[in-house]
Amino acid sequence: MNQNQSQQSSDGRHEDDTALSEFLASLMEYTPTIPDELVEHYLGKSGFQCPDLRLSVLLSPIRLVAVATQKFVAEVATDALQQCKARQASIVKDKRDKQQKDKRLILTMEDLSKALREHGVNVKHQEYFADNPATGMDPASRDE
Amino acid sequence: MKPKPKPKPKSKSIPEPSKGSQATASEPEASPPGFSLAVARIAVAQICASVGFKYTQLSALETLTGVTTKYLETIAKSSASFAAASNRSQTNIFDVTNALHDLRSPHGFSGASNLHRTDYCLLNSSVLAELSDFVDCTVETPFAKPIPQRQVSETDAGKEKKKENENEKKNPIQRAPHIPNWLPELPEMAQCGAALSSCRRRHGEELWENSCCGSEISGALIENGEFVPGAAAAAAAAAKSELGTKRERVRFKIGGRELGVKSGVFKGGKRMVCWDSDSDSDENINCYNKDYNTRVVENEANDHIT
Repeated sequence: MNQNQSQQSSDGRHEDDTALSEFLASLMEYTPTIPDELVEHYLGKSGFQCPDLRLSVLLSPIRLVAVATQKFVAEVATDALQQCKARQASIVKDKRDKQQKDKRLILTMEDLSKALREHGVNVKHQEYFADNPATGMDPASRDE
Repeated sequence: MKPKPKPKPKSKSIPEPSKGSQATASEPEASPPGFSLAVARIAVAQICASVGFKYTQLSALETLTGVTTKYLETIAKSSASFAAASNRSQTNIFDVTNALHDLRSPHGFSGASNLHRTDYCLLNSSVLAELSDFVDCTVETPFAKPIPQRQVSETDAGKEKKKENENEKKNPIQRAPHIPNWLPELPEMAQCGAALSSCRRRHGEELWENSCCGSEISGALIENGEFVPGAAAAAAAAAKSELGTKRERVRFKIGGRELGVKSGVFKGGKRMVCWDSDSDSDENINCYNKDYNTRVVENEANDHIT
């Protein structure tokens, strides 16, 4: 099936072809946040062989994978941010005095697990997990 | 999720790029998996910061990093299997696009229902279009620091050298220059001889291989000038290096005073070149040439005079 599809691509859909090659060319100038070396490492670890990125960006899907992963993480983070904001908005109604403190945008497991569930990842985590001995301390003393 | 009064989450500010990389560098044992995870953690933290988060729980960051690495590995496995299904070992963009479709399907995307049509063109994929939009719309945030390449530590290099030396001691015959370095060492001479002696013929006949064993083979190779074993190595090396050493200056004179000719141009329009060297060591080597040249010069001078 895949071969058929790739043959179709060469059959003469020039518009798609040029759009794709433009996109790939723009990838050459775009620097993803996830470094190429990291992507190469994880791809190589999982049996992924491809032409080297330094030889030709057009042939090498490494950048594509990097951008796709970055997009995925950014989407999850955005969802978590929305969850965080929504939660804070509901809290603010009840306790106006704590508004200042709760305005902080913190990536928490609660929001993250909700965001990941939309992407098909079920995260099970403990309800309470002490990251560090300072966790149980008085909130006022560890304000930065 | 239980609606239970939670302890206030310990918030930690998203690590600054430099801070994070220092932390990775100062880790006592930077094993490769730990290192790649640390790099991934920094990248994920950067993405979270670019989205708008100011702080993060450490456990949440760890979880998202784990999911990210799993995502990368899943793309790799899936697209590699797509490539393998098409009888290819090299994975190309179409395989990656198929893998992205698979990974995107729980979330859903436009055109997902047309994927299995025979006239579906992968280049139309909305996933690729979304990626293209993402690249256009997102502000580029490059990774914080260049990733250091793994360097061979000095102890490793020392070990390898030691090993090489041991090999040389074990095997007195050095490698001939035409044998590439990546080939294994030659078998030891003792083993070689033992193996050969075990296959002697009955009537005192000797196999050709037996006659070539041991010192004879090295002698034969010395004659060819290719093979340089043990004791002869120094001499041969000296002979070879003769060309490489610095020589004394050799002067060429055009027109010689001793010949009484002002310009170097003679009757026939020929130019006279006089060879003049002060060096003693070169004389032995070049005496023939020197004599020849001076004789020629003298002859020509005589011609000119007569």
